[in-house]
Amino acid sequence: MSVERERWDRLREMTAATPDAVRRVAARLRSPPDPEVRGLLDLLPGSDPFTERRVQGRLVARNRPWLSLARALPATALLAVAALLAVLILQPTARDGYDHLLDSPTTWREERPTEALAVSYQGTGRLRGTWRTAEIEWRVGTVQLALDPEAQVDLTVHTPEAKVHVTGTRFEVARDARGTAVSVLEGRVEVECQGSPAVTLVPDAALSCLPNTAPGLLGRARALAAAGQPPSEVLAAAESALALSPDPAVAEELRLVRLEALVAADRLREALAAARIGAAAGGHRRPDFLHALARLAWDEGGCRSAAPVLRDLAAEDLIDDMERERLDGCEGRRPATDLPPSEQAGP
Amino acid sequence: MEPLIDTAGLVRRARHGEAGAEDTLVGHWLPTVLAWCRRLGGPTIDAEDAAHDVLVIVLTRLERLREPECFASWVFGITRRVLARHRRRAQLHRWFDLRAEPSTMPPAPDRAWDRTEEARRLWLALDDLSAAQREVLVLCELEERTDAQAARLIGVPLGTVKRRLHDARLRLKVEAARRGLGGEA
Repeated sequence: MSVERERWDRLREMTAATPDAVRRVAARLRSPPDPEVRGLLDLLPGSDPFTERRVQGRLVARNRPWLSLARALPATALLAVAALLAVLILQPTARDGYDHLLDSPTTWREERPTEALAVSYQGTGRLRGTWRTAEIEWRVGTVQLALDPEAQVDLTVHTPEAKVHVTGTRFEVARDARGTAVSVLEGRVEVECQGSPAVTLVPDAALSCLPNTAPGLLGRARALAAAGQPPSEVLAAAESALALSPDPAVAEELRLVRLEALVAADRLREALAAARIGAAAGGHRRPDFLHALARLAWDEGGCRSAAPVLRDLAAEDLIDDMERERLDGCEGRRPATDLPPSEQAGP
Repeated sequence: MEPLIDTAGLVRRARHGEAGAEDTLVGHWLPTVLAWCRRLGGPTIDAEDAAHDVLVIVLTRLERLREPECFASWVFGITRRVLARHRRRAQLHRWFDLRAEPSTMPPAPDRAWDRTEEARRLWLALDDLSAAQREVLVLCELEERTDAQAARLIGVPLGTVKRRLHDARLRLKVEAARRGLGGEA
């Protein structure tokens, strides 16, 4: 018991608050201003109106610290380096782009710009691209393309009338005066005729994109006529073009093509009207319209209808031998020989 | 000292986009922030740059302040972080010797204080104190805040402020005396 008591007493003595310790704690708790320290710290500067105005001026401009030049320059440089690295890594052969002129109007040729793309062509165009994208501007002729679907090459064929977009397939694009025809052999192809929504073509399907300008349609009409296509198609092309209000020279050519198509379609009354309009319009094709008018008028009503036109041709020194004969017959200078059935009097 | 205005109300008005409230807030707090930057940042940093950075952060993050009543301690916390960053950068510049050659131009009137010999010695003495000790000295001794105000501003218990202040006073006196400043003061 006494031993324990002694221990407690010793502990109490050891932990007792000495006057010195009490003074230290009290000083800490009171924290009265210390004049000596204050005297030292008075050397420190505070705010001043000059600097305040400068900071306020900068704040009005709202300079963001993260946009200051010192920070922006290294950040921009880092971004540029990162972008360059990304391009180099992601497109290792992007620098090795190709650009080939495809020019073989009469014979078939082949071009293989990358492993993934094979181009076979007869015609004229241009092939450009990289290992990721390929672009063909096709002018005239036929181009056949085979594209490895695994390679994920983005291929586009442009013609004046169509845009053909594909990522892996075999297909053919043929372009002539009639327009652009796309046919698919394998895979799927998205075709966008100018001014129309895109259409997806499946194998064995084909789509033609017609020219959509008056001169283009004039070319199509002439090409159809030369190819012996039905006059109704030629007429459709010519009339579509005339609906586009073409310039006078093109309109004149279109009226002539339409007239020829009407004659070919045996729509003679309409042809006669078209010839009259063409002749009345003037222009450098007027002689053609006059000849056609003379011929159609002769067939329709013989001398009664054709004589005025024949006289016009004679007056303008445009009359040919057969027309001269007909005019002479009408005016009684010689017997009429090839009168139309309506004028041939019975015995 | 803190501006004698209704800061919390001003903060609320600024957050609601009231015209002029932001400018008023900046106008009232700029002297305090600039003084903190000068007194706590020391001569190695550009106090003007630091004060600008502080206020830009204050204005851009005002929306995030949850309790406008705590604006003062929030600003003090931002100032403390910005100053730490500026001091680190200054040390780095010294390390790599990136600082520009000393100008031969006389110092601007508002920067003349840090060119005096006494100020240089005082800064050397203060540099030997910890940042926490410098804070309580400036807030309590120089700006005459009560210990409780300083505790709220710094965000530490009252006892901690008292202890830091006591230690800081002793330490500053010793360091100042070592540099020939204490005797005169």
